[in-house]
Amino acid sequence: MIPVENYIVLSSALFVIGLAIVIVKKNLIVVLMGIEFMLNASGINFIVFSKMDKNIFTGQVFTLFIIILAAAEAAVALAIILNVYRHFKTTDIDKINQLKG
Amino acid sequence: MTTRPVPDIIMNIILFYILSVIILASALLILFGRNIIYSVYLLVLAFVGIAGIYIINNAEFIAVTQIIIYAGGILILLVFGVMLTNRVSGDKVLTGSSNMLAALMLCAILFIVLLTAVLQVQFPENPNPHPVDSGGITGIQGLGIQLMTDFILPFELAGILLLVALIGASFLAGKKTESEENDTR
Repeated sequence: MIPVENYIVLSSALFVIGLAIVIVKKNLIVVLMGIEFMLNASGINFIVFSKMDKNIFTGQVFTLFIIILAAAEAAVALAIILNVYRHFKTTDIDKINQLKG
Repeated sequence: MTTRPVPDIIMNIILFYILSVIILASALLILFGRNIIYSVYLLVLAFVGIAGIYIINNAEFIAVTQIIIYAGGILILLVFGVMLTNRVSGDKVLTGSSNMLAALMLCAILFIVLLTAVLQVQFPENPNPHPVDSGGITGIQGLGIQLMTDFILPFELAGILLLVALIGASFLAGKKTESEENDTR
């Protein structure tokens, strides 16, 4: 079968690319996409390691909760982004640099 | 672990490499690309690829849940977000990037650190030597039983959290700013 190290390389690479997207990109929505990549990378890790555990379903249940939390977080983040856009009239991160007061 | 026929194993290996190439290529294209709509489509592709990896590892329910929630829910939200936060004109929606070189160096170093730390562990060849005897219940039935017996507390808390997120998001997105209130009077 496929050794576990291959999956670890895949999920680490995906996590690091997601982190690069969060650091580099200037649009708020694309930053949210990078965060989703990081969450999915940890999900891959959980599924792969669930086969090596005593209880083979622990990793799968945890991945289910990761997916649920990612959905809730994406909804709230998009509501915040909409409000930020209404206030600043732009989604360029470099231009959103003033707090109230 | 029961032995499996050889064509099965070869198919798993081929599928793993194809899917990982698809996932990493779409992630890199989002990183180095400029068009936001293309990025959204590449994100769909990445999510479906990750669902394929879940299927290879005997997690069929999680794979289908991933496709339904991510590709069917979160991506629609992202498309709404893109459309609502850009002025509708005939141009393409482009975005730029800043600090690319520093970010790439940082991420390469982090990648090397992660790999050297994790790959020093000797993972056992025979996974799961003393499995919990689940009585032959596998698949979605076993997952459902686990969710309702051992993991009932996080399950209920996740329900409460989803309710809170729903109320919060709909309240936050429905607030009108002062200028919009003056317009509608």
